[in-house]
Amino acid sequence: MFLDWEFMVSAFPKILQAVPIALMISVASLLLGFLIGFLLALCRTLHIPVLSGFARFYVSFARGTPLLVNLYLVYFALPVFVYSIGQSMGWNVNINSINRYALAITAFALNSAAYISEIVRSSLSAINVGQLEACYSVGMTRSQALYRVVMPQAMAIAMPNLSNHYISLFKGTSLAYSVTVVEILGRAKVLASQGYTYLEAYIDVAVIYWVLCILFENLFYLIEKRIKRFRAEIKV
Amino acid sequence: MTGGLPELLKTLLEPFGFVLRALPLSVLILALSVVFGSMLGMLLTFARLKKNPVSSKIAAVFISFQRGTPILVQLFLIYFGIPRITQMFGLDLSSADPTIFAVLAFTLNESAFLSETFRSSYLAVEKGQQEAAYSVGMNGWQSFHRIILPQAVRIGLPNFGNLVIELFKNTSLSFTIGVMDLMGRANQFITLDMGVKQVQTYFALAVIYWIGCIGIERIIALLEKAFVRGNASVLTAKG
Repeated sequence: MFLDWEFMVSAFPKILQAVPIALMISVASLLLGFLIGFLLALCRTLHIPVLSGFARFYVSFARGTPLLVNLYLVYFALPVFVYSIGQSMGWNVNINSINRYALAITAFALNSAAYISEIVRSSLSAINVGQLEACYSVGMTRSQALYRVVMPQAMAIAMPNLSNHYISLFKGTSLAYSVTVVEILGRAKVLASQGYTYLEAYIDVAVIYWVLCILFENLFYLIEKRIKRFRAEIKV
Repeated sequence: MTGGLPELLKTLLEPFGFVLRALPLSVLILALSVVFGSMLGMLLTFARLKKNPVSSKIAAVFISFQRGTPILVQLFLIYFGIPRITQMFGLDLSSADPTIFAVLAFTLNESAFLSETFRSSYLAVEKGQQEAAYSVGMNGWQSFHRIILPQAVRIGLPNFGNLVIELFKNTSLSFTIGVMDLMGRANQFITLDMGVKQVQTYFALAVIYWIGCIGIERIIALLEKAFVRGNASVLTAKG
């Protein structure tokens, strides 16, 4: 038989069981990465003396090295780092007890933060300074102005780019199997290893990723449409 | 360890000479994919933003497929599928250079991501700019290329840089269809020595890709400097 259809049909629900794990990792990484990325963008644009240089180096390193390298760095180097800090502080840290999901989320978040800092920087640069001046003229502080007026507009601009990045991130979570997190691709490989039906498993995985990415795209598009409700836009 | 530091440096630097011979090819694949991908991406953005539901839907489906499926799958589809199809018309492409297929696959994939970036940066320009342009008598094309496009480029450059850097790292996948780019040369270097030099070769690859990405970042930063003249945004606000 050209393809093992029975395997493809029977393995599909089993692979689907791993989808929540991949979703959890990618969503948590996106949120955490957004937090860190926003801070990085602020460091760079406000030109804080030491931090802005560190932010530039960090963005360059996290974007310039492959995601797998970042994963390995966090997965292998971070526990050692935590252990050595614990040693010098006198704590008794058991590095084997660090949750592997936490490590995976940390690694993906630290990688995402670099990309998201650029996305945030670009969306903040699109907002006219007149908005900020108008906020100051009615007496808002800088953080009030940023939170109430600037960020909603910046989010509207950043949405398509965040959707781009999230889709790449979600497909990138397939690398988490190399640090022992069993997500979609890992589960498929485990199931396929029993009968060497790798091609069928990969076809299943491709279908799952495609359908999920269609869902994410539409979700991000709906969010974007909602945020842009009252915004007047250029007509083509 | 025997030899100490000079020996270590010699081991680490050894793969660079061999692998860097493929740097022009990798840069060529990247440049062609970015240029053609941008052109196709602009067409896609245009198709998506128009009111015409047919063109908008076709563009949306294309973008969805390109973004949703893994790049490796697309690479294989194009490399194995296109010669199969053209064979039916009598055109034999089995001896064609795989670089062409790689550039085609990366162009199509990148155009989808770029179209979303272009869409976001185009819609980020304030409507007042277009109204002002029309009010002084410019037509659609003039207002686009004199007023809106420069602002849209300035807004979109950091995101464009993100995508080019990701593409540069993704072009490493073209070794799977036989292209002798950086990754292909690195694998060749490893197999020439029966697989003993893996660590230093991958380390060298990581360094080469990092330096390449730093180069891309520098170019984008230069472009940003050129386009940011006269801009008054939240980032340039004082206090």
